[in-house]
Amino acid sequence: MSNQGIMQVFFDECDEQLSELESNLLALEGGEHNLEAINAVFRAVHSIKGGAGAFGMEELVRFAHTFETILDQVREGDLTPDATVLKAMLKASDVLTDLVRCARDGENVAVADVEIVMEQLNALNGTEAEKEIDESDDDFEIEFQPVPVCLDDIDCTDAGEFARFEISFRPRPMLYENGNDAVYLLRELRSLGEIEVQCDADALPTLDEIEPEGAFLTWQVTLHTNSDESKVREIFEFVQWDCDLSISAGNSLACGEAGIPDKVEAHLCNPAVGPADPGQFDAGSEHAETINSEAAVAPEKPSKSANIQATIRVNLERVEQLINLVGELVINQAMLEQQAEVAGLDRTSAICSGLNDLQKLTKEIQDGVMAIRAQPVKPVFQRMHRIAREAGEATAKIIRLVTEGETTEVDKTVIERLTDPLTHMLRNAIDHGLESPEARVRAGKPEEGTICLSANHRSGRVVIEIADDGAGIDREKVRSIAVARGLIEADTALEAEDIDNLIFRPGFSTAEQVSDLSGRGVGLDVVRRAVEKLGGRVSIASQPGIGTKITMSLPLTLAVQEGMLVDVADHTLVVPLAAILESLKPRSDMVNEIGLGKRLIKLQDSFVPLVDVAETLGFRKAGIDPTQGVALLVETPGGTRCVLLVDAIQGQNQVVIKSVERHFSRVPGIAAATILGDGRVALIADTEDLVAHHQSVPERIEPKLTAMG
Amino acid sequence: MMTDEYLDESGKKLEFVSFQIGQQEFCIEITSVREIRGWAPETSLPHVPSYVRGVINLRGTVLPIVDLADRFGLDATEPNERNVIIVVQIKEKLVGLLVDAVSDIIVVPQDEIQPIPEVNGELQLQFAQGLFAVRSRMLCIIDLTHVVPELERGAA
Repeated sequence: MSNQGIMQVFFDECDEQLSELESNLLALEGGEHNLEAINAVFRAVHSIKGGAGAFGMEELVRFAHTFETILDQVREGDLTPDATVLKAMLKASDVLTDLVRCARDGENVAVADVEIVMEQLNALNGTEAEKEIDESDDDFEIEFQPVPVCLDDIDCTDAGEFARFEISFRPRPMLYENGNDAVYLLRELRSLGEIEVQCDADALPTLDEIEPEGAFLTWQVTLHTNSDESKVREIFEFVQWDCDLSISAGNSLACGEAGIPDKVEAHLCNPAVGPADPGQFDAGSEHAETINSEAAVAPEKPSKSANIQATIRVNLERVEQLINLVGELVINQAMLEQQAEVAGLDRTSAICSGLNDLQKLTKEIQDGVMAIRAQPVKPVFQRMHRIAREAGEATAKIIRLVTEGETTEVDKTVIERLTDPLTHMLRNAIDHGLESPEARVRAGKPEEGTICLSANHRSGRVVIEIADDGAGIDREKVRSIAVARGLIEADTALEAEDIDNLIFRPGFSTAEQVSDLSGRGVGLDVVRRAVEKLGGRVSIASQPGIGTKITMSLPLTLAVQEGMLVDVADHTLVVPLAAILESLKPRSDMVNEIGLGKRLIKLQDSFVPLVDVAETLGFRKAGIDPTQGVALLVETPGGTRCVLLVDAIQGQNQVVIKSVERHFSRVPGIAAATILGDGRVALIADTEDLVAHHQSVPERIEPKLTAMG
Repeated sequence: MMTDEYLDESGKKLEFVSFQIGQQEFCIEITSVREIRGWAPETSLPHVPSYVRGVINLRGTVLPIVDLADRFGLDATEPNERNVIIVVQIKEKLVGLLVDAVSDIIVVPQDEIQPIPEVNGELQLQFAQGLFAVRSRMLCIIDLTHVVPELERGAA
């Protein structure tokens, strides 16, 4: 693997570690004061530091080290992870994320931010760490030195004096799986001083019982060295989670009689070393005993592997290829079925039952393959915590972000495009939805504003909700702004719901003061557009004084779409079902001509432009008589309403989306293509483009007409 | 010009797939040919030049079909089952070329390829890369890069 490749793996792992880091910090913040979470946080930071050191990313190493020092103190119980400490740590994890990103993209680090957080961390730590940093400037190797561990055990080891350490080291299978080797560690130990090594093979099963990849040996090492315990621990730093290790300071040679408690005995009996069964080696006669002793060693392994679900990294391209092939298979299977029907085969015949089985299998394969791409929304949700923290700071509001349904799985492509709209929505909720702490207290609410972000599956779609317990939408204000911006007429009668929806209109921004956060007037209409581009819908519900809830409903995948199959001239066209509001048979009295062959259709009390699809796409010279066709009322992602006139409706179907651009170029009015059951290609209409291309009525007229009604 | 390249490297042999459009014979380098298959009805695309007949399903890939006769300014093909589609790769894209029939695979020593003589007013020559003669037949080598200008637009 090239260096670049290794680097890529490192950054991939960093992402995982960072997300692990953040979720554990949040768990701690949520009041879970368990050691495992702290250890996990420490491990994550430590791994990043280790990798960064190997690649010579000094900024990253320096910061990770400072962070790690604090974490170590927490781990050792010297520092209590209270709210202040956790806040600093969360901030530090944000900075660490930034540093990793900068290292990956080769960007420059915002040094000031890093320094501020470093100072905050050091403030927690006291003076000790600052000294360290000074030392560490020239060589990051040195940074590994001052890990403060149990120094009280060996307080008599002054420089130059020899200390004795009793080390009991029992690797677990994981150590070997990770490519480490006990012998290297022992050699390292030797480099510190004189060692005596004893291998304890008591746990070793007989040859016919042995598990070749197991770990059965324990080493007892006596080390005479003038280094201190931290030096010794450092050797085991990268394997400490993969082995049972106990290090104790024995009698130092120089001050052997100084009355230091001899810990050796205690540690030798440490249960972690495992039950030494003396009867084991003559187990030829005592078979049952051997099994017992192996069972005593074995339990660690299943418990370890039960926690870690085996995963593999696969190039996304391979998955895409597989999905394409499965798409093929589905089409092919549909074709076969159609052929069997055409051939008039008996339904009970072997061929037909075979085809039935094939259909089931194909469906299962398709679901299975789609599941590979499906990922939980957790990473996106996790990112929102940071957004909430930052937005909270910027607006001086106290925020609690609650996430629910993080394990809800959605197709990778959908997830990727979810971050931006979610960020906008969250910022908007914090900036405009929640009141200031003072206002909240006045309203008799807790000072802390709660935002609930949730995801769940509902009838084949994923529904994401973002609900705040703020003041709700100020409808009077929204209305007056909409009038001021020319979005509606002053005397337009609107339902409460319609007023709420005004905030999704382009150019609408309720913030009187344009803040850094949101309020550039590109907030929610961008969200709506992005979501609708994904084939989703956004809706809003608000109750004055109680809160606002914005709901996004998205398709589970972008590879398949619900479509309405329609006839247009001699063509079959697919119109995305998500865009269609209703379909109707126009009567002649509904159609009004204006200008040169431009037509409007009267629906309820508003006039909507009529687009003859066949004519717009150039499939037919002149438009058809609207009463002979079917009208589909569509709403484009931009929010424009329009009626598409087609010849007839064939039906509704799930279609696999295929790119036309891949081997050709962008075609106006066409979003993509699909392959029908008969193997032919059908085009999928791009409603927004169709409407824009039609250019029949200036867009401005439409809202005014709506307003008139 | 590509023509110079062909002339310079003498001694090397090139392989071509030759095909017929009407009475004329053309060829393309075999390395750009991915497969040859029978014609199937296309789905026409809106707002494209007439030589782009539409798209077909090539085992799940949406493949654009170009009528070479139309593209070369000859009478547009009225295809039936006996017509042939040569699937070629142009840069990153796959395109099906509709022709009347594929005739042969020809190996030509590089130094036998001649540059295009100056002829006035012949539209087809802008796609010609060189000429060579095989047993009294004259074959024109097609430069695929400019046959479908839409591909370049789509790459953006």
